[in-house]
Amino acid sequence: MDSTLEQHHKVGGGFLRRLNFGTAAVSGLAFGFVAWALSHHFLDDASQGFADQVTVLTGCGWVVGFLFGIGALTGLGKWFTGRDQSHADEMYLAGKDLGRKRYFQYTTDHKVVGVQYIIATMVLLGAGGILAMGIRTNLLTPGNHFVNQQVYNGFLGVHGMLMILGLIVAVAGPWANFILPIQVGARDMAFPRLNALSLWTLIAAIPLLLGSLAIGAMDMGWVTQGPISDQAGIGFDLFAMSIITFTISTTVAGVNTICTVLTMRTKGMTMERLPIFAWASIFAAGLGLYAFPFFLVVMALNLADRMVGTSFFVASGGGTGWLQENLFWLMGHPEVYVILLPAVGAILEIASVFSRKPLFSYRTVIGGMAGLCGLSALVWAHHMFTTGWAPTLGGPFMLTTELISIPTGVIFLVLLGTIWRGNIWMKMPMIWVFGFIVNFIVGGITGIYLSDIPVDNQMHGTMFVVAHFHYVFVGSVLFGAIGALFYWFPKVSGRFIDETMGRISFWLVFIGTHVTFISMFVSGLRGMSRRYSSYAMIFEHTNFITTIGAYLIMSGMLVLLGAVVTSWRSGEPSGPNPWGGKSLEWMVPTPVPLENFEVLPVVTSDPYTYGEAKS
Amino acid sequence: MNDLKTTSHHEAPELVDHRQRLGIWLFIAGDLITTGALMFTYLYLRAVNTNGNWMAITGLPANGRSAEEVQGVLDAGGSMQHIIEAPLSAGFAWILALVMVASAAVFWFGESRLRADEAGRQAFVKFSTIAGLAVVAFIVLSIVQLRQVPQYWRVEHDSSLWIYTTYGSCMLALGVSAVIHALILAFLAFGSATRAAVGVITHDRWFQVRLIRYFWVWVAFSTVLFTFVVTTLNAN
Repeated sequence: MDSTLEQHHKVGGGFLRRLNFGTAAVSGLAFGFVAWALSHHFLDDASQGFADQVTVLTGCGWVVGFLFGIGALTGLGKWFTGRDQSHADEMYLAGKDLGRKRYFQYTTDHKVVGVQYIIATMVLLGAGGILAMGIRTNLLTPGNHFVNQQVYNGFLGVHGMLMILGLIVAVAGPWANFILPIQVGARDMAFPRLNALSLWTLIAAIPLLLGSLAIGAMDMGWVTQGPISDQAGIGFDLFAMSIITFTISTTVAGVNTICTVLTMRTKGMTMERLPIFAWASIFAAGLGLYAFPFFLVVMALNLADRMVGTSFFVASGGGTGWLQENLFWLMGHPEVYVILLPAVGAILEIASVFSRKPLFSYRTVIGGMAGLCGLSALVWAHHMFTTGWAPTLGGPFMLTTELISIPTGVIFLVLLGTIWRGNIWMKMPMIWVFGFIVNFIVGGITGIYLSDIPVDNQMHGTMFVVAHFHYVFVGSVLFGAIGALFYWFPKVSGRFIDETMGRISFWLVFIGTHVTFISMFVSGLRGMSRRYSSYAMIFEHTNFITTIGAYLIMSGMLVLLGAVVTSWRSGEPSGPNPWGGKSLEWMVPTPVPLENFEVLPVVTSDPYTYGEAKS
Repeated sequence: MNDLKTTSHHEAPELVDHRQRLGIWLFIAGDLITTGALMFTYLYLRAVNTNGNWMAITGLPANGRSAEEVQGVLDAGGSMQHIIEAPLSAGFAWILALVMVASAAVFWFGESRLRADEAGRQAFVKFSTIAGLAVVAFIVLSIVQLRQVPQYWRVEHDSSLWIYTTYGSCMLALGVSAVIHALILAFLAFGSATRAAVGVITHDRWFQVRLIRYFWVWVAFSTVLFTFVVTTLNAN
């Protein structure tokens, strides 16, 4: 008996050895069921908020149970009782010698967490994409009833939020976890257990969001417009719960990212030698720390209105929808840059490596990112130009919104300056960079139109706005994310993503993007409102074309998925540094060892010394 | 929540300390935005006073009564009233703030004793436990205060519902936020006491205590700030 205990202690892990994704799911369901049963037993079923109270408590049960079942809460218990984890426990948690099992467990190794984020991102974007196909199929012809209007509304809201969450983590999740610590010369993230916590909290949020579709309609879109949100079905409760859970996840992840870069850099890795992706990651994380608490608060207050009869957003009780809009857009606009900046960082890395040129004007682009972050906190009311809120502030908000094009333009010029007269190597990562350049300029310039109040008064709430932000999110962020996937995939898997399939997917997605969203611009310019499930005959042709374009995008994404899956299993081996990169992630072997570096490196130059003597 | 001894990779203690201090400051910054959003909500709703409903409402007071009871009053001929709500007791709110500040002070004092000498560990166990108990008292008093927020039974068109004024709504949100913070503090206080009792926190391994103190002082500060705002800027 004693020797068995000793053996266990030596191996480490303890109770955690029994836990994995399966136990988490079972535990989540069990806790959720218990919460459901208890709330039915103890709550007043005559209360007008009864159904919402039961739904929220069930959702809470699911989250707590899921985190308990994966082992995320055992650290708290151990801390409370003064039984800290041994070195063997830490090694077990890091996934040492666990093989593929570690991808299904509460593993703290940042590389495992990075891969888990890749899968989570695929699930989020895949589910959001399927809903997008449902929406577009419904809009293929006027009066089409592929889904009924209630379901259509649910599709719209959940599609929007799945895509937003998916894009928030699309670059920052996989690559700020897998690559960033290696880039700065660290052995892991600053807080490995919190790193795993942020990942599994995100995973706990996904079923809530998807579940919201199954249990009730959401009629207010992803912006959860108050007071309509007060009247929505109980699906809204799970929707709000998923966002609250997600904000906790991103806050934890943001703190971890910033601490990793600021406190774990290896010797010689000064701030001026940081890879630009590291800069972009800490700007995005810092901006997220500012923005997402507003998201949490607006959702919590929405739930309070529904559950207990508070009057935050309901005018009949003294509340106001303007408050909801202010709180939401205080988050909503910075969030665009939380999504965009990591993709921009990855794009700039790729541009330098594949142009064989130093990053053009390194300090300027850092200034541009800082400017974006600062100004993004001062533009939220441009989303409310047509609502009647504080008309006298329209001018100042128009000005700040137009000013934000300056740092954006600076970043764009730095990207062009990096590529200019470079020795361009047209491999897949770089092809996606060129796609990004084309799309980003369309998304950016149409944003300047919309910042202008007279234009916004005409275009607000039309498909023109939808096309604009899809050019930013799909055309820019998604292209950046896919470019990053092609660029860093060899470091993750030791293999290239298939080049031929990659090119097919690029052209399908690139052409599809323009077919979809240019025709959507035309629909908007002709006056078609967004969120309509049916439309007049004059919008028939443009909507038909948009739907065809959407199917092209989906086809391209399926080809990409096929390329990733087959390449992961049997792609061409890449070696440790297939692109000739100079940042630290390319200096370590592939697969990357558990603690990344046998001996921590000493950095003597920046990672962009291409074309310089002795580089 | 790594301790120096168990930190992997054998990093220098000052590096771990630096990292964790930055981490807690960033969490506090996030919490500051959250509480700032709640404060913004309070001030915004008070400023706009939609339909004059900041502290007034038409309905029947429903605290402690079931839906059927209140509806029964209406069915028996009782009429809806236009009620001007009184703000919650300022004295009680300041007592709550005082309890929170006192708990922070006790914990801080315990920390200083811990850092002073070897014998300070036992003193820390005592003071951390007292601070935790003070926070529990804060939670109980907060719940008492939350139960004082008036709720009204209101008939609207063909439906009846419970409702809070916007002032009451804000007080509920702020109160629940305070309770959540206090629950975290109670966990940290009793956890610290346990850790000190079993010898994980000692005279020369106290840096986690300092991190907790940062958070505690922030919560005490925000409690005082909220109390000042809600007891001074609350008129209709």
